[in-house]
Amino acid sequence: MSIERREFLTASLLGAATLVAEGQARGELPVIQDPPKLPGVTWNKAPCRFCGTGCHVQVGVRDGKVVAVQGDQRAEVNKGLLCVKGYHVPLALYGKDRLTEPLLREGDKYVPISWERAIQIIADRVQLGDKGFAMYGSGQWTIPEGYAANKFMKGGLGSNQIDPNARLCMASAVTGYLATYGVDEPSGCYDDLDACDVLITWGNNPAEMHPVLFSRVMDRRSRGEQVRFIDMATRHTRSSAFADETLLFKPQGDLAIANGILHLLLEQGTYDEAFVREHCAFKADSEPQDLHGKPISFEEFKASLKKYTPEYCAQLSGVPAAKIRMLADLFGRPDLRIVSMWCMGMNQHTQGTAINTLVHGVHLLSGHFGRPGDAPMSLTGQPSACGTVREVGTLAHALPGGLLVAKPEDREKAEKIWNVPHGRIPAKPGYHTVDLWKKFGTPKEQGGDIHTVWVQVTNPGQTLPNSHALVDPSRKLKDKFLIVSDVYPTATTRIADLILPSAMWVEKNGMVGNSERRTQQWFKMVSPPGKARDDLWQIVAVAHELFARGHEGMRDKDGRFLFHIEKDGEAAPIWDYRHYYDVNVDEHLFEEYRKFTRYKHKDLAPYREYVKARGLRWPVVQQKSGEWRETRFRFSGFDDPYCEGKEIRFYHSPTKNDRAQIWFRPYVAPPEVPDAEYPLWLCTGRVLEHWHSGSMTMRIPQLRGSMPRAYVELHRDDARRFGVRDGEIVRIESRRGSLDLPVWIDGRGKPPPGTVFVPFFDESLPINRVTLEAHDFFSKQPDYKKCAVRLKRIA
Amino acid sequence: MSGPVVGRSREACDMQEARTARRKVQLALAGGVGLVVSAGLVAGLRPPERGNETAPARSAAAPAPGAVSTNVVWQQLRELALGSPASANVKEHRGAALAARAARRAYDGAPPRVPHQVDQRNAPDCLFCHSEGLSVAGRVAPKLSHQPYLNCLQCHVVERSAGNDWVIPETPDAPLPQKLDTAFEGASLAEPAAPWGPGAPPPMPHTVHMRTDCASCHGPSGRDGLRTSHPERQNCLQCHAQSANEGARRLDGAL
Repeated sequence: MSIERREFLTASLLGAATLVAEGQARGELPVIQDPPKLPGVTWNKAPCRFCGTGCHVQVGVRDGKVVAVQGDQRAEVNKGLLCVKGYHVPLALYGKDRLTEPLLREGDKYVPISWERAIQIIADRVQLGDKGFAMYGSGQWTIPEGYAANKFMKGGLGSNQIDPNARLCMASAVTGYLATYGVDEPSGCYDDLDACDVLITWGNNPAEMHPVLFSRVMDRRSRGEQVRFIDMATRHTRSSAFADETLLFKPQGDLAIANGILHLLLEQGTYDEAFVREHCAFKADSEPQDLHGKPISFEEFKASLKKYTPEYCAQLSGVPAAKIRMLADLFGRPDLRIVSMWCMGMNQHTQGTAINTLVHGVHLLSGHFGRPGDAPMSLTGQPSACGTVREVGTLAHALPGGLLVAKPEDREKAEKIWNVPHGRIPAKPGYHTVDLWKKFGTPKEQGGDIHTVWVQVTNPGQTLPNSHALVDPSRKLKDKFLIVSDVYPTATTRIADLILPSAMWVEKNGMVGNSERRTQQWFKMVSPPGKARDDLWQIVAVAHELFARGHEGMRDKDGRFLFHIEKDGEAAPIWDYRHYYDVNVDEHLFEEYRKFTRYKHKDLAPYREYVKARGLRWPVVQQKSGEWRETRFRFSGFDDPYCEGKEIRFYHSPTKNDRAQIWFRPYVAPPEVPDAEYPLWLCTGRVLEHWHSGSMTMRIPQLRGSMPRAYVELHRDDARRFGVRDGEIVRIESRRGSLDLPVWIDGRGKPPPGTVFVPFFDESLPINRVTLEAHDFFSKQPDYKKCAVRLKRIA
Repeated sequence: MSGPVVGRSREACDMQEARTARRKVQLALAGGVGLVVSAGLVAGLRPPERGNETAPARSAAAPAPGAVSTNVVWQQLRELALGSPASANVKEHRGAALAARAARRAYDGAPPRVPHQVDQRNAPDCLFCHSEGLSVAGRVAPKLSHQPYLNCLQCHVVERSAGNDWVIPETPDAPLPQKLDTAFEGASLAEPAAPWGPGAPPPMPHTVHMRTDCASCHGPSGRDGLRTSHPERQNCLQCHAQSANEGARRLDGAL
């Protein structure tokens, strides 16, 4: 045997050597032999279906089914790594209760109907009154889907009654960027995480919510780099476990901490005087309140901050004055590179716009802006909250490309690109999410002028705050009609009048935009199950049904169908599903949408460029060579072509002088605070394993196995105070509703005494019965992070 | 590894125990290496047939006479380190080994789930056991197959099964929800690619992405049927062609 072994070693080495020599002679890579016939798995790129990080995966398909994924090593975002949700994303397609045919409610049961009938029913609802027909969409709409919905509503029906779930998610980040820079979305990008010396999170738990980004920073420590991580939080989380310091603050205390930092920068003279003189101006709230407020002088700004001493801010926030000084000292050091990162903690906040502008202000005043590693950075929770909602403008007040319905010149631009008559788009914004659902739940005769809502790619039955007030009432009114397009039965389909089965992720073509301005593209790889069909097709089919019925809005100025797409010189019948993929509808709509993106310097490249790339960050500008170049650092002259050579240039400044605005925002108490009757704070949020309302991840056995149901996190002292055990079922009760949940002491997270935390992923334990719908004045985004509750033993 | 050291006294105790256990193994290993060195010195000089005499007859697959000296020593070392007789590392066991491996993964390439309790709140010190691999009382902590990342629980979640309450407390009033079925059929590991000729080293049937350390599965503490017959050789890619199928090559960035 030894001889055999020696022989084969020799033989194989000789063989390899021969082949290597041959390979070199042919100028090819040496290959031992032809690749064996593998069980036919083909691989293609797609962004992950879940969060706003925008990781790319390689999707393995065999026999028409997705059988595996792998982190895409060529993707800059994740460099081959994923999180546990990403690794299990294919399973989201294969829950056994996928919706596979249109279902119409008849009495207390659902009956299957044909797609033709379903489309007709929707067209009938539109014709009951265009202005009472609303769409409620999503940051999970692909870019072409959101664009089609926006065009259908605003350009077709001449109605602004369209708003997305992203209103609940990042609306305050938008108003923060607009009030500060005059244009939405982060200036920096994930590359900042590779360069920062200090990472400060403001009410954010990226170890669970954006794990790949979190690892991108933390793994630098494994390579011997120093990264100081300061975790500002209202409870101890998994991210806290990695922090150099965790500063636990009282709910709303973030306003005080930011003001304390601003105060000290001014007081100690450690602010960046040159940066402020060259690039900044100051603002404060006006009377009446307006997003752009009123200009104030530097002296007025300084005087307003006078009272925000570290001691006063410590009292407001619960964070020791010494720690506020420590933060101010960090920002006062020009040699450090500092990234501030936030997500729902700052956005789901009744002072969301205020705290967003304050954090931008801290970075601007200290000059920690515009160099790699120096950036205020907001993260999004959905894969296309940026790409679809913010850029395509599927909000009640917006138009694509950062344009606004309130501006006559913006409406004109949209009407021109859509080739619809002048005056088609109303100047008045539609209802924002909270109002939309209130109007839907109000009888017509009492002013409830929304009669139908068509929900796509989202689950408001579980995710709207105070569901007793926003979700339940419409279900008791006979003339209200709820249409829901989704892939699984959810809390929303269960109360729907008409359910439409949708295709998802790689069952359709798509494009999305992540948190760092990166636009991403993928192709359809497998067929949707049963009669499930693309959301975009559903919109086109309804539009065409109305067109066929002679609805004026569905034809352009030349009498052509609103979604006219030509193939070989003839109109492609994309409303007929059999022909939907005869053309690439995504590409056609994207090329039209691209025209909008020039107005606010959000330039997008042609579709074909995204096919080649693992996403590109806008503005993507064509070079003299013909090549398309992405922009990593916006407003920074060394990278952003629109700075025209200037070191820093805020070219959409609200004051039209290339200056960013530093805001004075006073500390304001939350609208509901614990009292004798309701003595505890309630905070809600997410967990690593589940994505938002859990309609996908709760159907993935591995994820559900690891995190099977919701719970209430309770501090040990509170447990003792209330006399409850670990695992005991208790009632959490607010002024709006109650929910019975098992207690988890020292669980995944650890709230301080006086605070409880409940995740919202579990459909069977919907905490939004309890939450508050109070919202930010400017962004209209509700606060899911703080309201007053009490805990009752029920045993 | 570089997590904070605040408020971790309980973990510190656990770690102390683990450290002691690990030291024992290290001692055993050190002893083993000593044996290898001395035995190797002698065995290496022995003629093959005498080497054959010293080989324990535990393995069903008789070791190759020419390679026996080192193999035997490694086998002895393994027994010493693991404290149990090395069971047969034969082809027939490969199916069972792959099945056991697959049971903890959604598909080939998915991160395995964690079969033991971890601290839900903190960053558990996974690398303490998994950086080099560890075996205590017959249980094996496999060596990490990829470069170490700090946030292990980002990819590896605890496997929950009926009867354990590792994840969240279970009470009669809040039983586990009904397990939902899935129609997902994950890709399993490709059939091992056949060597190009008799005796040729088999090419790799999988990607090397996240599997850069072959010893994780194929090293001395790997499952029966997966262990290499020649652990002394360190440069695996020298003989075993990387990513021997087109899909894998593409994923590894070679295409």
